[in-house]
Amino acid sequence: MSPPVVFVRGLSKWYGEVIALSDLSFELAPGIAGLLGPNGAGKSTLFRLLTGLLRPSLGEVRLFGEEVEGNPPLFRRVGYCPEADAFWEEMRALEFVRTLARIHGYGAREAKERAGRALERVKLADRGKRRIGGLSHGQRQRLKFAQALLHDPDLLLLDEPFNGMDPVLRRETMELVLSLAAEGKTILVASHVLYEVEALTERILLLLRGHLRAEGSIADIRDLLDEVPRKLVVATPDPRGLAAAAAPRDGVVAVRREKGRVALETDRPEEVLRWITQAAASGEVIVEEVYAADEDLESIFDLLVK
Amino acid sequence: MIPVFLLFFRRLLFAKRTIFFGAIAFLPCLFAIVFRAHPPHGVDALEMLRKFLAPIALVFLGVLFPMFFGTTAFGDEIEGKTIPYLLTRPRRRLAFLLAKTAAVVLVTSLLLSAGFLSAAAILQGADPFAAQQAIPIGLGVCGVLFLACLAYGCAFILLGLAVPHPVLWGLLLSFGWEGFVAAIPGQLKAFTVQRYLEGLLTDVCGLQGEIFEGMPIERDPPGPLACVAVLLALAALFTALSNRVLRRRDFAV
Repeated sequence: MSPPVVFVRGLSKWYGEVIALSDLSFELAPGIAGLLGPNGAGKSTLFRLLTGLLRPSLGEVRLFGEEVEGNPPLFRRVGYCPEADAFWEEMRALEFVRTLARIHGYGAREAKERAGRALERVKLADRGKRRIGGLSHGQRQRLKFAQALLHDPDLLLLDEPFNGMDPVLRRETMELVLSLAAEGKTILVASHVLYEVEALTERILLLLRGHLRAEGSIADIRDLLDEVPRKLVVATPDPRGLAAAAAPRDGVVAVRREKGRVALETDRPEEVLRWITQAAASGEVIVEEVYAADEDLESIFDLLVK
Repeated sequence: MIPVFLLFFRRLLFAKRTIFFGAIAFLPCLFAIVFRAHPPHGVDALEMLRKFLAPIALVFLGVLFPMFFGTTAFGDEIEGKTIPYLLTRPRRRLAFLLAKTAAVVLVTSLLLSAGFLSAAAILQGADPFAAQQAIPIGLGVCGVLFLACLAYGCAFILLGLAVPHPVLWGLLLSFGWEGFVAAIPGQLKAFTVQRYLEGLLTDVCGLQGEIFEGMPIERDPPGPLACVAVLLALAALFTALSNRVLRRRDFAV
């Protein structure tokens, strides 16, 4: 049986007394996995450990069954797109990728061909002769992506690859990630935006304050939310009446009245939602709209961290 | 290693810092021009070159250049956050170290040599003796400057990798340890790089037993071969230590 593409066991990293990552264990097989977490959760630290830029304080990292530390040949199979918007600004886009291809070990002709193909793949071929300093943020993101692709790696580590991209570009890049996964590659994508990851994969690693808080599907993570109070927002022309009716009900933890709406905190969202629907139908309260205020990732993070 | 070296060399050669230091490298030319315009009484052109310009180039510029280029060699990639592009390639970190070292040594010694040879060329026309000897002496001094850039360059690259605020430590080492110890009688000077460079310089400039202007040069320095051997050994030692630091170092960028 072949080893997992990514194998992490008991991985911790600390700087002095600051713990950046604590006791992470997971495995990845071919396909896309999303690494979710708010800024500062430890996503980039994990990528740096996976790429050998950092040494673990404790624990083990293996890629394709091999130790990362002191194993440069491993990077023939690994492509890394870092988060930092950093380049040798004076270079042209094609020159940047070609230079990295040369450093990777390809001859001059092959490096040029691979650089051209990589830029084509990220739809940046027409900007190859532009100076990097003159590229837009989205184009710079794609350039980072191109350098990670140039050697056709089996494992792609993408740290916030969609940052700064407009919606069209983001969709195109997501399609590219999906097509790479369809080719059999293993891809770990870090993001702090839930819908970006949802659009790519069901497989999620949720990182919060250096801890792996959840691992599984998006549904698993949503199930986690049942364990913490949720917030429902009810738009109504009579916030005072609705707040008075909701406050004594079981499952309602807190009520906050705002202009034109009431925010209900509940540990039984489905039950409370059912009551709102019935009360509105019977005329007990007037309801214009009901929505969950915490379906975005930041809110989920907030909830899980509390 | 060649593509890595070419990347570093080209970036270093066209860096803003290099333009600034390029101007400083031609400081000896300024002195040479002033000498030609107003020759001082009792000092000939060769004396000017051997006893004044060569020591300035070696003791001041030959330390200053490797210090600024060496301490920032990896700092540029770390602060610029471009180092992940390099270290996530199938190359040993030693290859990047050697390429960086080669780029630093080549750029600094090219700058210093260009400045010193230009000064020698200016002084060449001053008198018949200078016409015969200025350029050969200039070339010899360039060789010593190359070894200075090599030994100091390797030392300062190590500092840049191993300690925070490497420029500050570099200044302390260059003009504190190297300068201070030179003035202390006894054998402590054997632990400076400067001793072996001065030993070579006295040989190249034909100054055995003489004293450089304003410099406490030893009257009995080690022989040229011993100096070259020690300088090469120091460069190798510093590189080995740098490699050890680089292999174990975290890059949180």
